Amino acid sequence: MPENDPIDILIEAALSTYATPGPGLEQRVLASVSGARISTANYAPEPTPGRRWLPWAIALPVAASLLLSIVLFTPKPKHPPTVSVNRVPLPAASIVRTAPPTKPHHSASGNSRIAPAATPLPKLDVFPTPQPLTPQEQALAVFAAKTPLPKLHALADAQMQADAPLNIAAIDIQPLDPSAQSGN
Amino acid sequence: MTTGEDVDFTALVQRQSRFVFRVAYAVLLNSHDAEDAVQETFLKLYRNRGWQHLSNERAFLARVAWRVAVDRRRPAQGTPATHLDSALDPSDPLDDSPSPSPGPEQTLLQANQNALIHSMIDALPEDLRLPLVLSAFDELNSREIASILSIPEGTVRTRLQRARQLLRQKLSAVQETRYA
Repeated sequence: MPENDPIDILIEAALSTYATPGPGLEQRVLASVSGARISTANYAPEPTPGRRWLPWAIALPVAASLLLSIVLFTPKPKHPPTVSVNRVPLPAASIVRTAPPTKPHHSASGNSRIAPAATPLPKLDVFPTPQPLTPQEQALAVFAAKTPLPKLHALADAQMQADAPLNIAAIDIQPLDPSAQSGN
Repeated sequence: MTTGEDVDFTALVQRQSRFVFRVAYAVLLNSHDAEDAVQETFLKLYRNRGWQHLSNERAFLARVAWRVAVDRRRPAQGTPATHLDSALDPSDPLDDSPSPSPGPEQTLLQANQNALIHSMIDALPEDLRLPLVLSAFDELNSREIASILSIPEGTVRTRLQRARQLLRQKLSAVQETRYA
């Protein structure tokens, strides 16, 4: 650069003093850096308010993709599991014979079908339900409650002996008197 | 950070803080904002530990300081909205001076030529002012300035010539007014 011109000399002199910082700049910079270091050591770094959404923004897509992959890639059973059903024989009267399937009716749109109305089957009791005692059973219960135990045992023994085979004595049948028969 | 690194960082601050201040001031045109930018620049360097093993320390610092200063520049404050062509118009060299400081004549009457030229430098468009400031302290050459500002080296030389030419014209006009 030619600096022989006095104007150029003035410009260079002014440029050398342009943007001169105040005294103590280095100390202020070092103090701010050390202050920042102390504050960093004392306080754990927290996400800035503008970035609090960041963990959720990462976690939610990851969780959604995991769920989707589990749903899509889980092997499905080829045959549905067999369920054993105890079939109860229905009484002949309860079997309702339905009419043979007719031609399905198409709706106006032609897409839906109306299923034939099925007659609901009667519900049957699979297990015995408790029934109230009959008068005979009630009398037996009263008798058992009032009778002393030895008598009940004796009665039970008698019932057992009643089941034993009967011994019937041989019947001795006298022959009829022919004379008397002939006399009538 | 170890004690040795602290010593190195302190030496770096004492060695380059004035240079970083000048870079920031060339963008912000305000001493307080420039000092804040200097502190932010060194704080970034300290946290990132990016100041170790620098091949070109001044160029790296100038680039960081320039970016920090540009980020800190408020839209309302901004640099003078002077365009390069309008700034180079020699017909009225004093019209594009937006400095709120007293006019060049008043400054000249106060016999403060440096302040006058400083106000003229402030009035330059930023794309002329920054290369001029970076080159004024014979620390950065055209290639380094080009790498800092991400512009071709030839553009840096052209802008330097235009900036000096513009300052020369303005100063000549002021001196003619003074001695008329």
